[in-house]
Amino acid sequence: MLNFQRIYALFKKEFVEIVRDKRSLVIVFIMPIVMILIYGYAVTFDIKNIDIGIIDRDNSSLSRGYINKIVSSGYFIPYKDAYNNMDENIKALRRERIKVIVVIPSDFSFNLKKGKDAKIQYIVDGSIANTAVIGVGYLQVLTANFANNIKMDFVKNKGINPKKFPYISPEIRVWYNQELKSANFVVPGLIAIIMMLVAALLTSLTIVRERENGTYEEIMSTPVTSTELIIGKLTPYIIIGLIDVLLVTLFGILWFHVPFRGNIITLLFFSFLFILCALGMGMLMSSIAKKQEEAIMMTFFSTLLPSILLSGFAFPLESMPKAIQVFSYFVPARYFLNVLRSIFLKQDVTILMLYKEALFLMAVSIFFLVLAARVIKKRKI
Amino acid sequence: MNTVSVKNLTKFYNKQKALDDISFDINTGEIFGIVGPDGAGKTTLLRILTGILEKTSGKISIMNFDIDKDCEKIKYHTGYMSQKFNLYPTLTVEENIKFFAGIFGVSQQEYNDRGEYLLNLTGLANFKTRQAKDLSGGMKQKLALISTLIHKPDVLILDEPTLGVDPVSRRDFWQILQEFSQKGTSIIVSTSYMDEAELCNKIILLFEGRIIIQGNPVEVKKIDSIVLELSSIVGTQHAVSLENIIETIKPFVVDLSFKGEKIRVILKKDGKEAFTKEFGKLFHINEISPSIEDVFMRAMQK
Repeated sequence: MLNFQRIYALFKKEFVEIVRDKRSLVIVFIMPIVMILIYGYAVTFDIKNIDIGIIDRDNSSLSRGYINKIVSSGYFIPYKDAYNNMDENIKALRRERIKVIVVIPSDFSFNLKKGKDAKIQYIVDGSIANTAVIGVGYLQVLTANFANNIKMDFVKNKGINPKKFPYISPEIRVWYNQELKSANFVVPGLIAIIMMLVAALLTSLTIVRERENGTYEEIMSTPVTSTELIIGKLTPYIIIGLIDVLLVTLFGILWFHVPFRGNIITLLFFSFLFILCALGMGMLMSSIAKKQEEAIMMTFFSTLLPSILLSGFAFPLESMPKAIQVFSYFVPARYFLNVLRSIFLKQDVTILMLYKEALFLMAVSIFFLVLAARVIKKRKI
Repeated sequence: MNTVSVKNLTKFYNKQKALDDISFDINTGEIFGIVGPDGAGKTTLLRILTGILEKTSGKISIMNFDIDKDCEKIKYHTGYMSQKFNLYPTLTVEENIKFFAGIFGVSQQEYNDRGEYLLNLTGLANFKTRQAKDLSGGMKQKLALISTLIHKPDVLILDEPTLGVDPVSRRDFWQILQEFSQKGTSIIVSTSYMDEAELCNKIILLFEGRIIIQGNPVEVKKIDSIVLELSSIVGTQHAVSLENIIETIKPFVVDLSFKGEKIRVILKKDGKEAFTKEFGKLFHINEISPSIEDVFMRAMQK
């Protein structure tokens, strides 16, 4: 039987301790805001104004049209000083003045007019892989677009109604994040990271701190059970965690103009489950560690790093080796990240639709909390 | 009535024997002292009694509850103060006490009565709203004591409670303990101060996990040893160097220590005659009553 007077005494004590501890307050209120500002601005996957060099060996109306298409897209800025000068362009690429060189061969318009394949060369600075990949992606889309227009003109010139011409053109529509703004993507993910940090880091200290104080031995000599201890100690952090979720959400909406299309109940429900996971992990670390520093290090490596690296927050999981992908199934942040992005960007997402994620988060939190309770029961000193 | 009864208690840490065949009984209202050097097993013994450490074998009953069956019930009857004071540094005096009151399910009414009484008794009433970290060492110790007394334990277990506390606070602290023992609280206290051992009703000396002496302080001192105090006769001290004196005395004595200008020696019961015959010309020899420290030094030599 749980004794609620005892749980309340533990709850109140823990709460007062957090409120009076400046370090905890910084972790609770300052860190989430700082993190969302840093990540919100720095982790941007939108790339604009990529400097490119242009070599136009064809110098025809078609090649100029193509260049015009690239420049007017807004994503690229031509490096005019080195226009048509290969040596200068290569030097510029080397000293990172430009990221890409576009080379239009002299037979470009000749081949196109004959209905043959025309080739274009991109020389890309691969040392900045991220920019390179995205830049080349843009160029490919622009080129495909340009090629389509030529085809359409060709068909029209032959006197065929283009609408009757059997031709398939992919029309890409982006749903849920129409502007492909990375803030819309990053901010919901950040909530998971911040929650992991706040909840796991704070709780990782709670038991080990008492052990250092000598109060742990004391509590263990009282009739408090390990379940009561865990409930009493965790409740303040659940409340603080949920307040943080709302704080970061509000900040994301008001500051970064991230849309919030789901409903708040679903958000709080899943946040609660995820916080339980994080708290369970923190609690376990705390009951194992002998010193506060040890607890912090253990929590950092076992909860925070996987949450950032293996959840799909920073790097897409699809591009990871299979073995690591398998490992990522055991990272709670992976599931919470999915949930958060859905809740923020999609309408009418209900708890039922996300039942798999809910079940997983429940299973993980129960696993860690039970394990922590066992360790606490065994190690009373 | 026996409040605590320990029979043939043994504790192993892995294969290391920490406690070896410990047996004792404690009556209602007794102050029971556990004395011994560091590493003798004092803390281990106390932790087993509070239920935070498991014994290897033996029988323990507290308030007629067997520790193997009713450990949780026993916890309502005991109060434990660990070596580091059991305080939350950022909580105020009152919050610390209220926390332990809550843990033990003390009612508001009881808390009001007993809390006030304890605060006044220890002189902490004026510091209710002060955070524990801002208290002096002696006050911290008293607050820790109040926190362990708030639920009226029948058995109070204190692990070196006066370690590092000034002499005045130590005396106050022991007065409070004596007051509670008179009211019927059994108190188990470990200490390394011999003067505190004299204040107990019963003491045991632990050495390497075994009880080597047990009894009340008066009984304990009636042992088969004699304590002599030697002061040098004027003129002889320059003739013989200190090292020489020690070297010549050593084979005759059990223990030897210096007290100011005097030398204190412990002899076997029948050793006085031979000793006087040998060294009567070198020293003034005075027989004095043994202190508990002497008793323990003698016992540990055996």
